[in-house]
Amino acid sequence: MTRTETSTAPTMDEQTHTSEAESAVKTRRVEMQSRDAQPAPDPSEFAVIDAIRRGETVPATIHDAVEDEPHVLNVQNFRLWYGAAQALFDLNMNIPRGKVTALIGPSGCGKSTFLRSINRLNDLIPSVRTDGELLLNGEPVYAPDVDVIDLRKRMGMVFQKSNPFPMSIYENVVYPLRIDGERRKSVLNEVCEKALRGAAIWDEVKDRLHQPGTGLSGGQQQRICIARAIAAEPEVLLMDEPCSALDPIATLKIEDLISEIGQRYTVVIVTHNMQQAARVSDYTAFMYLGRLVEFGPTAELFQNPKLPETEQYVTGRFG
Amino acid sequence: MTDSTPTPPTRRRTTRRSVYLVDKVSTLVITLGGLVVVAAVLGIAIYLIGVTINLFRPGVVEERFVADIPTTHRALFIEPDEHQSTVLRLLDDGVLQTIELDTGEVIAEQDVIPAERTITAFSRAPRGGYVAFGFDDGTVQLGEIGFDTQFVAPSDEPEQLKDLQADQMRRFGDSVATRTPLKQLRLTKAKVEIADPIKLRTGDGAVLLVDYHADDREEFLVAIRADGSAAYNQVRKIQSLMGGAPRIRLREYSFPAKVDAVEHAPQWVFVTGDGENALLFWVDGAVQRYDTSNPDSITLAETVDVADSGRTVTAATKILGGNTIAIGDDAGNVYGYFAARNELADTPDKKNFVRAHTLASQGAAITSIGVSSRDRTFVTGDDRGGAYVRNMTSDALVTKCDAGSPLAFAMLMPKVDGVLLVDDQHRMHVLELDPRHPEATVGSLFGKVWYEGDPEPSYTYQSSSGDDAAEAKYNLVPLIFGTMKATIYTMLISIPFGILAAIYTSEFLSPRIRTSIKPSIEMMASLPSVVLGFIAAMTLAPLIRDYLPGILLSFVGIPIGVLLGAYLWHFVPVRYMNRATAGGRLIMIIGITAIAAFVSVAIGPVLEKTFFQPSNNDVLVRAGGYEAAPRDEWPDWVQQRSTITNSDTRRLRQQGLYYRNGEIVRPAGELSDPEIQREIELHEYDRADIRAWQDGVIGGPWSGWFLISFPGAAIIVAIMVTRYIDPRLRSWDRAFSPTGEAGVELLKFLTTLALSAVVAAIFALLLTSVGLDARDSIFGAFQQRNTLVVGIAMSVAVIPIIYTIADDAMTSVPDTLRSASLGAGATRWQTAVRVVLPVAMSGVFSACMIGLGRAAGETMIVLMATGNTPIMSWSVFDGLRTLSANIAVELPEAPKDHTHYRVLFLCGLVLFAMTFIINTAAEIIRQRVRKRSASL
Ligand SMILES: Nc1ncnc2c1ncn2[C@@H]1O[C@H](COP(=O)(O)OP(=O)(O)O)[C@@H](O)[C@H]1O
Ligand SMILES: [Mg+2]
Repeated sequence: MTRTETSTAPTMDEQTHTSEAESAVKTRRVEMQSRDAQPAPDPSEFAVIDAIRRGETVPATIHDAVEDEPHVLNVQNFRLWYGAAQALFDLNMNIPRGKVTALIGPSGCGKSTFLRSINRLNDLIPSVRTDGELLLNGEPVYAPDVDVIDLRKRMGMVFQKSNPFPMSIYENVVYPLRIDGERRKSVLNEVCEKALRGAAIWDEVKDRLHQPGTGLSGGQQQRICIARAIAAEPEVLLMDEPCSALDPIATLKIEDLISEIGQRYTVVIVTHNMQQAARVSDYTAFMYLGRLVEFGPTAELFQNPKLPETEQYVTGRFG
Repeated sequence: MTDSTPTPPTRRRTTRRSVYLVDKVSTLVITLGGLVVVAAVLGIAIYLIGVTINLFRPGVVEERFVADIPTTHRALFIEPDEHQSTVLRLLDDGVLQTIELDTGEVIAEQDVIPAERTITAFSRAPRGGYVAFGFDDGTVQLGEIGFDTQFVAPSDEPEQLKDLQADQMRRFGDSVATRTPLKQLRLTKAKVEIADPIKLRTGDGAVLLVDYHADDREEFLVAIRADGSAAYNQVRKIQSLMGGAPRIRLREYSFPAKVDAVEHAPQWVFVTGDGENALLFWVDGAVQRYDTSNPDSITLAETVDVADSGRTVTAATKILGGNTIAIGDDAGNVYGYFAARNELADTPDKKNFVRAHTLASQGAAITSIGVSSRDRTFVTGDDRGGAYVRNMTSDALVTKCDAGSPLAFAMLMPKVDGVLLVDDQHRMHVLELDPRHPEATVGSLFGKVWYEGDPEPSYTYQSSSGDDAAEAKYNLVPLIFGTMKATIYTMLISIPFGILAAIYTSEFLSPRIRTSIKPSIEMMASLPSVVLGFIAAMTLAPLIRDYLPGILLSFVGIPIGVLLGAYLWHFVPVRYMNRATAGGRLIMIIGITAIAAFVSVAIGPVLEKTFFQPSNNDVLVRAGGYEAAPRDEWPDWVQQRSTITNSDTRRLRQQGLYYRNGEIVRPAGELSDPEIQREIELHEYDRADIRAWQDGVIGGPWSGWFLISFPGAAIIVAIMVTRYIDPRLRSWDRAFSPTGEAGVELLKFLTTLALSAVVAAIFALLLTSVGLDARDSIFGAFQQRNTLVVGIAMSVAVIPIIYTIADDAMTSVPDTLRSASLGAGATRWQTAVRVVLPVAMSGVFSACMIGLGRAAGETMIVLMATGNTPIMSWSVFDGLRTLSANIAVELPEAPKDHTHYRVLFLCGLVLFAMTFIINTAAEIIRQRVRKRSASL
């Protein structure tokens, strides 16, 4: 919990920065609302998508409900290039705190890229260049004086392919504490149990904590990875298609788990499965070709989207 | 297929036959290729085994024929010539018979000694045929009796020999004529050269016993007279210009042989080949050994009993070289004795006459011992007709044969290719012998062997020396040791560097830089090892010699420097830290390392001054300021010592005593004494000198232990600090700004260093107080071509191998794992060590093993960078000799199929076996490791 304490007591510098960012968000919200007032385009036209395909900048359609929530992440004019190829275009979005936000969109639209931008895993790719701002609980993620290691510790990440480390289940789960130099057995035991319970796998592995984590089934491995991600009490939990490599039953279990975790943590989940997005998330963002198209409460986006493209996409008629 | 045609029920397309053909052919070629590789490796192993197996096979002996050589006299000696055509027999009436070997017929007789003279003593050395006669009138005659072999030119061939066929022999006057396989005619006859009688001045009465030893350098004669007096003579031969027999001059030293101390007269007398001992043997096993190293004062050094209780000695002979005596007793036991150096011996010459060899018993009284004049093989005949061919060095029983009736004489043909036995019926048994390789047995190749003169059995390798009378020492243990030592020291350097380099490039460098750095490191591997060895020997070795303290210091100094740099780096604000590119960091690290190395070498002399400064007393004594220490000042343990070894001197010095010029002394005088001052200035005795310390001339063990234990202490302290201090500090240092935190960390680092020094000092004190000294083991006297040089030079060859394979293993670790770890907030280092390395462990392990294999088999570098001294010492500053270097050094001089040649092949086989065992073990471990980190 120390992390949140530090973040609630920002330095003078950060404070000013945050207030600036917030005012920027507010002005943008005003713009959005004015655009919302215009009549929805003809469903047959797909004006937004076509514009995006032409490479034009089209402001995203963002529902008011999103803006009314308290935000954990503020994304401001975020752009990203892989070498010369731009992968993210002027992203502007605020991710609600304590909710599950799903990112959907056709393959290659930049969902993973965006997710990896949040914890700066993209830094590992030498050709990546970014522009714009990303604030985590008001603190900049891309400022020059950010300690990336400290930043990543504030987030947890779950990947598409389950990737337990070649060590025991126990060590897998307490890994974030280990790398912090935590050695007290009592603390480690407590965190391990709590995380495993949180990942709904405690009962399955409590008798074999010291066996290798690689010996479990795919679904179990993925839940171990989730336990590992939540062991560090992250401010945001990032999940990149966590169920895409799993069988339907394991998927169901993970989905239940995500819904449950979503009550305690902020979760940003990438998925290409509409039903999954509908089932687990509170908010959904629809991305297309590196741009945000529509972002709103999941129920609204699925049942009553503002853009015809979104409707087409979520009903599986295009994408 | 168009849409209109219906789907056929079976597949209509066929695979072309050529596809099947190509498939078949390639299968065949691949199988063949694989089989050829397996066969080649197997073939090499089988070939090596085939060549070396001969070393361990027993000799073979086969009876050729028996011939009668009747006589009514006693024979003094019988000897066949090296071509096995002729036998000489000297009878006790002074008649020398030339006997045709094939028939046993006497073809010539000559009086060597006039019939009126009575021979009372006789000795003959098979090598050179030197004979000595003793007479009842107290005179001796010296000379040579041997063979005269001449080849006759085809034009000069006598008519009656022209029809002689190859390998046939025929009597021709007083010679035996043989036709060699190359069709040359060879005439062999007796050659006799006996000098005039010389009257011995010592003692009275007949000469009872003589022994005459002669070789290229020196000649000695020992004689015992009937009155029990003995004379030791140095023999000088003066070759007359007129030709004929040389005149003999004796330089006679009489010594009182205590023959009357024993009731009866001795049976044998020997002067050893080195001329330093005269040995008197009695049949009951009593032996008196006289120290003749100083002929002016010959003393009885010791009296020993060589026979087992109740046994009598029935035969005794000098083995080739004349220093080992083979004795046989009435029960058939055979022993080898020699005077062994023994520092603790209570004899005046510090030697003991010891039973160094116990050979297989043959169960019947030994009647005759025949020795080879080429090596240490000898044959023992017994009174039941048995004859055993043996080797003294290896104690081996080469082979045995049986003549059926008691043997009077047993001897080896000069080329050790036959055995000649004469039984009590005057029958001559001629046998063919193939001794194979008597010096090599499992025991002599891999076990301790007591070599002539040595104080105790040892592992020694010394294949060749100038003189073939010297014992061949084919013990492979020092070579195996050298191989392991070179490998271990190399791996101690290569493994950390190789793996760290692999971690660095695979985990820290951007792929772009990595693609240019990796090939350049790999290029190091392709450096010819000759070049590396040459550089090591010519540049590195002198460099290490000149900057030894600095170079030793840099082993600690560079890590400290780099760590210090890392701690200072933390003072840089994150804002600037983030700006450093990978390339920039690389340049920074290289810079820091270079600075640390430079500083280490620069402050090396300071280290030398601090730790290896001679004490005032050291300086004083070395400059000559000392006096004999009274005996009651000597420590107890010295009283029992006969000789003071190097480590004893060091122990003495700890107690304030010194050992100079053979006596124990204590410092005396004043440093300010001008005489002493001059000495000090002349020899710089007051200079700090690590090599003087290593040689044990100055200083105590503490400083060495301190330096050696410092790295270990630092590691222990560092672990302690992270274990017990860090958790306490954690909550506390959060309160600091980043700079403050860096300050705390730096402080912690410096404290760790200081603490390590304290721990190392205490540890060194402990080791010193227990009486251990690093100079006895890993920190011994300095040789310029030493293991450190080899370790560094070989590492240059091995690191790239370890690096390349380890780097490949680590880069092939899936990025998902790396992302997971980095995504959890681990640093790159944590990711590398905790996640990547364990996953890549089997590959990294293979890398180390392949590197190890390379180090174990490396030849040129060790050949050039070490002195190739086959010694067994763990000292970093000693040389070594590896199996592979040994093969390279000695193969050119080893005659094909000779024992030496096969021993070199055995070196190869042992090396092969070593790498095979290492690789197999490594593979098993690797499989285990792989299983553990599998399913990723
Ligand atoms: N490491 C990379 N280097 C270059 N281009 C990349 C890299 N990763 C992704 N991209 C490109 O960025 C775009 C977005 O990819 P991604 O974020 O993986 O899409 P999604 O996860 O939505 O399927 C794609 O066009 C892809 O080709
Ligand atoms: Mg993706």
